[in-house]
Amino acid sequence: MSLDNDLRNWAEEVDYNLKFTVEMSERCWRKIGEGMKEDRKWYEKFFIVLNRMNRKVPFKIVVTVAAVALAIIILSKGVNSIKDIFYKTPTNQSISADKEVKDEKKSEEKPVDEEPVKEEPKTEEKTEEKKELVIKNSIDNEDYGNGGSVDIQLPGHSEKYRLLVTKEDMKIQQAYQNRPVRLYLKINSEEVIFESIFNDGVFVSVADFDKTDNDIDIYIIETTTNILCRMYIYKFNGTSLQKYAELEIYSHKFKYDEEGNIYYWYSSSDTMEINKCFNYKTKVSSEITDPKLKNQLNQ
Amino acid sequence: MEKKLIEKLIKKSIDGDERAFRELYDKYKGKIFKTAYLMLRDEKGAEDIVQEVFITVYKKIYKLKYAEAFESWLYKITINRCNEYFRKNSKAVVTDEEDMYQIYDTDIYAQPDERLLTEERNQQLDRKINSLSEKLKTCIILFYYNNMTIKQIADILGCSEGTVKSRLFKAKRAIEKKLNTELVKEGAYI
Repeated sequence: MSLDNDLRNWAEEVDYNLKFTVEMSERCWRKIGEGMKEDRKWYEKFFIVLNRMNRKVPFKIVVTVAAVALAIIILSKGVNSIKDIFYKTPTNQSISADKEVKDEKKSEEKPVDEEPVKEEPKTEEKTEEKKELVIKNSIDNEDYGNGGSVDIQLPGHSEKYRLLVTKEDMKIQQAYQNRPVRLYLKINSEEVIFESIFNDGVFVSVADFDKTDNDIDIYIIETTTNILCRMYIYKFNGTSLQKYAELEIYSHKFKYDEEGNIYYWYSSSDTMEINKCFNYKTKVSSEITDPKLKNQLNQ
Repeated sequence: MEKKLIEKLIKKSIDGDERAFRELYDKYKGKIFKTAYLMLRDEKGAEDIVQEVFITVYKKIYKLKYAEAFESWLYKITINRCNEYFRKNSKAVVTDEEDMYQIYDTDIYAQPDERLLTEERNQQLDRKINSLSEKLKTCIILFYYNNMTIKQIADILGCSEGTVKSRLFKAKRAIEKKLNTELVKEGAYI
């Protein structure tokens, strides 16, 4: 065997045997986080802004436009007007926003009986807005099935939580097993271990299926050798991470509206048409009968 | 696909997206740690290098003009940090050959004899690589372990491709020579 081959074997062995463990990784990341918090120098910040601008619009154009705008202001209004640009002059929007805040404060101070009646139309507008169903596609959710991490923001919480997903290949113990894999989902001290012994891919993503509750959902989709998949939903409420629901769907793609409805395909026909709706709140599945909704989902 | 993803992550990291930066870190942390470990043979030191490298990357990533250059740039920082570490801790770094094999697992699928032979050969090679000078060792690690091209190594080390080739040649000759001397000492030629 040549030295070249020996060196390549050595490299493989090193790669296989040296381990950068999850603990080491997290320890390092904490230190990196501390380093990241140290404020960037002013010129670094300046270059970052330039870089961003340059990507969207060529820098020369930005400078030329700015110079021309400045020249026009000087010529039309005089040098004093430049001061106005750099001073914080509230725009119409910000003025109205300020007013609203002040009004809110006032209304808080006032007794409940004195609440202005004029505000009612605003609530009507809001309900009209709510009627429009916003449908999200699971394809847009990032997949962490091969490991990775994501920051989770719970509704109504200012604190961010980090979900860490680690993947571990398991040994085949039975002939029927296919690429068995073990996934660790970890948030703070909460950990869920998920095993798939017969998989053609495992997807892990984060979504909020029901905006009205204060939980965030972490879902796992386990694909099998045929098109039938199993979806496992875990809920995280800031303290505990627990399994909430489980359902069978055809293909790993589905849609949801963040109001408690998960739309998916489940039928023996090969039309791949979304025909079922899983009610997240009641955990009951039903056929989608509304043709308008069905049309919207299958566009 | 992978390239595009990394490009996306780099762009987001430049904009200060911590999540994207964490993903970049997750993608490269293992390789950086292992490269640093092979250079220093010090687990704690290698961990420190990983931290320093990624803090530098976070702070200087805005300077990166082409996403394709990211990997070379990352290894350049790693090698520079390792060299700094050598300079600072020249007395503290102890080449502990046994230490490395404490974290080596044995390959369970190999036959016992075969396994022993492979293990012994790898241990011998490892000792020889570790006893090389810093420059030669760096070339061997980047070429064989990191699978880099001569051009990439030349870019990282800031020297010509010819220099990298000659260093690799010298390193291999030195390893061969040392292995042969050991075999003669053990009486393998008799």
